[in-house]
Amino acid sequence: MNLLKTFYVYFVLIFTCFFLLGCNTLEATGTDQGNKEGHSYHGETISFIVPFQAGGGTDVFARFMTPYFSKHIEGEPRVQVENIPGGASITGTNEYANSRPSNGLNILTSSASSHVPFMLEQSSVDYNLDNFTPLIGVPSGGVVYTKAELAAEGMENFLSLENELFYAGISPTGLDLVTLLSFEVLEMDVKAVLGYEGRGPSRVAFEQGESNIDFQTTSAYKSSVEDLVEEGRAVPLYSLGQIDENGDLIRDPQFPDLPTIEEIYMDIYGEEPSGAAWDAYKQTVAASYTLNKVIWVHDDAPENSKELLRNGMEKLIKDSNFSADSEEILEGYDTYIGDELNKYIEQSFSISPETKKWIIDYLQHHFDIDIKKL
Amino acid sequence: MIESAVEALFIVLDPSRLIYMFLGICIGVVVGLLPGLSGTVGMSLMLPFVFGLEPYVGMALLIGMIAVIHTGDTFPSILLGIPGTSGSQATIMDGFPLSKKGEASRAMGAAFFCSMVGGVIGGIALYLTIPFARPLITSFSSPELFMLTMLGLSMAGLLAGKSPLKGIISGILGLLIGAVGSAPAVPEYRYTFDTLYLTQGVSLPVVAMAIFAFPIIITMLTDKGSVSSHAKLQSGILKGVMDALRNKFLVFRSAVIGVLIGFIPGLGGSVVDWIAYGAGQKTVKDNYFGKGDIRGVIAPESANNAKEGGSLVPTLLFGIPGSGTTAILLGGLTLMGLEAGPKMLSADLSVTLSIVWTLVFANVFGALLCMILVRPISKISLVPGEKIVPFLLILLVVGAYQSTMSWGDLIVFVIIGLLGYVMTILDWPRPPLLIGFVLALPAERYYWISIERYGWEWITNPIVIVLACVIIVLLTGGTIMKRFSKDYENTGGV
Amino acid sequence: MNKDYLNLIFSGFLFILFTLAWIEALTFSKLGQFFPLYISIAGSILTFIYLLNQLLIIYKQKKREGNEIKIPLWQPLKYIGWILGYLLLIYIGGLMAATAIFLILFLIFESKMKFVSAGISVICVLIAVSLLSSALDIYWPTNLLGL
Repeated sequence: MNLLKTFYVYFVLIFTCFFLLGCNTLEATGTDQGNKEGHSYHGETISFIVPFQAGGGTDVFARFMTPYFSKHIEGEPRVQVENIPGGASITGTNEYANSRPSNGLNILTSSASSHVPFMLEQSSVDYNLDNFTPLIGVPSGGVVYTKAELAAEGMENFLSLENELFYAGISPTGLDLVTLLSFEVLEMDVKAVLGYEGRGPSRVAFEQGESNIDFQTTSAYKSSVEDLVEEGRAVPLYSLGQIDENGDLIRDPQFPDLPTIEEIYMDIYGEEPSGAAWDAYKQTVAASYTLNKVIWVHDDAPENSKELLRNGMEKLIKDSNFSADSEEILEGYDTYIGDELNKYIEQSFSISPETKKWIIDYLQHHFDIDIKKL
Repeated sequence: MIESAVEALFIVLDPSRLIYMFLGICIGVVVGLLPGLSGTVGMSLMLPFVFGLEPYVGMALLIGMIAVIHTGDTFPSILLGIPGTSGSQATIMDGFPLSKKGEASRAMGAAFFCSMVGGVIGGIALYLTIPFARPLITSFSSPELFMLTMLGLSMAGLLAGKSPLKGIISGILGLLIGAVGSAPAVPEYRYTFDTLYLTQGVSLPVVAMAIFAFPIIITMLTDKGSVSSHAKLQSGILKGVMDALRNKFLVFRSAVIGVLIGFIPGLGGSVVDWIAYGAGQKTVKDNYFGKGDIRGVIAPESANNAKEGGSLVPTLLFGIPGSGTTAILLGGLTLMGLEAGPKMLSADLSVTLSIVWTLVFANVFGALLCMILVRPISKISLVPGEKIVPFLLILLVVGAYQSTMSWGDLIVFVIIGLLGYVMTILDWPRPPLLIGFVLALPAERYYWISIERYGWEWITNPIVIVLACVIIVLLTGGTIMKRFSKDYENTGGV
Repeated sequence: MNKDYLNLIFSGFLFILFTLAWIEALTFSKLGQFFPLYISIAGSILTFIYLLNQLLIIYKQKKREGNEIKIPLWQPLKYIGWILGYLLLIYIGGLMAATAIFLILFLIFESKMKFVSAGISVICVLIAVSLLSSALDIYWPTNLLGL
């Protein structure tokens, strides 16, 4: 009898534990329950999907943004970063598009590596950026530089160098694409060696002479290349530039002294650049740099959640702490929200069929890449 | 430089920062101790908290953790034959047999002492190389890096055991598994069977755990009985420390190997324990490595902590992470308002020096903490297999799932685990498979870049030729030694 | 099962694996092809040599008879079954439920523990796992029931 009693006690204990733990998990994933028709995010948790491994540039950006999101979205929700790495950001973005409930409690950050495959319609892309509502967009920039001795004879001479320029890159479908297209526009003869592990290794390759023309994004350029320039070992050639509201290429606001490739082209060839390569260049600058990172929410999320999120963004960019802190992480660029952002998105991702075909053919021809297989 | 070093010492010893360092040490030991959880998990755990922290405080936390992971991960390697993280696989080779003999405490005493010495040497190396780091790192071109990966691969031959052919096939199998995923030269996915999971390749922690932990789990169940065949555990921490002191040159040599390999960007420090183990096997006289030789524990343990000091050089100065852990460290730096690059040696020199001190202190304290834990934790080796395995299995499953948070991790875990089990019962050596797996991507990358950039000219590079000679000596030396030992076995057997 | 035969089967399996990898590698584009092609060719040739060698050894041994090592198969398979079963349970019912069911069954049937102590262990583990996951920010496998 006594034995039976102990058994009974244990049964009850086990099941209570089960129950409690079950509740616990439910609570943790309770975000599925959806946003009740409230007027704020009070007591809610927003999952912030980052389609990269923790610690990368986009992840750092997302983690930098989370406290400001919590602060400015009405109701001060908890914002939790969730990393879904894999497939160069495509795995996570696909998951967000297809498996996350569109209840306004799931947001996503995308980056250039999700924008370009979407634009080119890679077969692994299972998301449609048109089905998301953008909340905030952040630009980035890049500078192309070379060895001082090569640039000593002037730009015209430099552009006509043959079989002498080596470029160390990672992959022709990533950020390198923009730089490679800039060589194409300027009709330079550059041998691109792709396959390096990252921008850091490619910079080391430049320093030790394995390559002699290279590009770095704004923050890396400022922290690592400007010293080389001061020592006289490197010379900046041009910034990759930004696309303005009219779709024109303008100087990078972070490097107002550096020309764009348009200016260089006009200097050397005496006419404005044109043709498919030029269109492709502008298109990729817009999708990779002018909108380097965008934070989105599902388009079919409840209207009032979207409203709350958008209002939050407006308050966020007025926060003086935010603009002071963002100097480091957002590289000092202005962020885009609201109608301005919508306009940029419209402009950046609507690629003409001819340009798309040209880029795909370019990748196929120069780098033996079949976009359909990716 | 010395002045600023002293200044940094006081910064580090500030009580408010010391607390963070101890917090980092505790997390590091726990994360190292639990199989499956590696530095990447620990780092991503702390990343949300470092945002906005003062750099010295944040660094005390992060570096405190990184420094001791390879101290804590020794426990499961020696006690259970399961690698605590992928950095302590080689410790299993002799640590686990020692544990079976009931000498776990001795092995751990030696291991922790070596970890401490190795880690301190790593910290000193970081300090000493600061002035020369730039010219040193930029002296490696792709052809040389390719030859270094080949050197690492030839270590697989040394670890092949009795049958060289089996060892080579095992290494090639590792290379093939490493080839899964995106190719370096072209964004094309290979052997992915149209799954998105495999596009980024199979992850190292999963493979390392599967290949070692899965077989051990099954064997513990089928063999019944506890790990230690002796009913009583001998206390032997001091004995282990004495062992390490007696082999001080081995400790030093292995630590230097660790620093050098950590230092070379792009090689991936994950094989450093194997390389130190192989080198130890090669250079220690009258050894019986693989059968419970304490020196087989000393070599890899000295190296894996020393590696961290070395690998911080390319991480901090060039923004080139040598491992998943340092990749996240870079993110942490940015969140604290720092940027990896030459400024770490000028404007932010004091931060860099505080990292050196933290590395040294954390290694000492971490090792002491682990030595205190030896007595309670080593009782595990007395628990019968069938009572401990289910708990281990749960830990492994949860751990394996952490590498990419996908079911693919668990499926790969089982498949590679089964492969590992079959290899175990049929006496196929597993270390070559792991080395091949880790070095597959760098080997392909640097081979491709060398050819693409230099044509076939790179073969005439003097350093390449020297490295090729070293490899040939290593390989032929290995076979000659093996033949010798075979002769010895044959004649000795009669 | 005879160890030599099992070894033969395993080498045969490796040979087939390498050969399939070789065939698959032929479909890759030129730049992605060379590395897997080299290693799969090397792999299949070496395993083939090894296979022949093993056959020869077994053939010689046949003449002499005896000294074959038996490897028990049933037991390992049973335990592998346990592991697969556990994963299946996780897939169906989530980590917590699966862990509880697996642990209690395993501890009672395999470890021959008493029900009471098994129960205590299960509770401890469940508490430890949930503590660990909240303290270390650990993710759990997803499952069909969405628990």
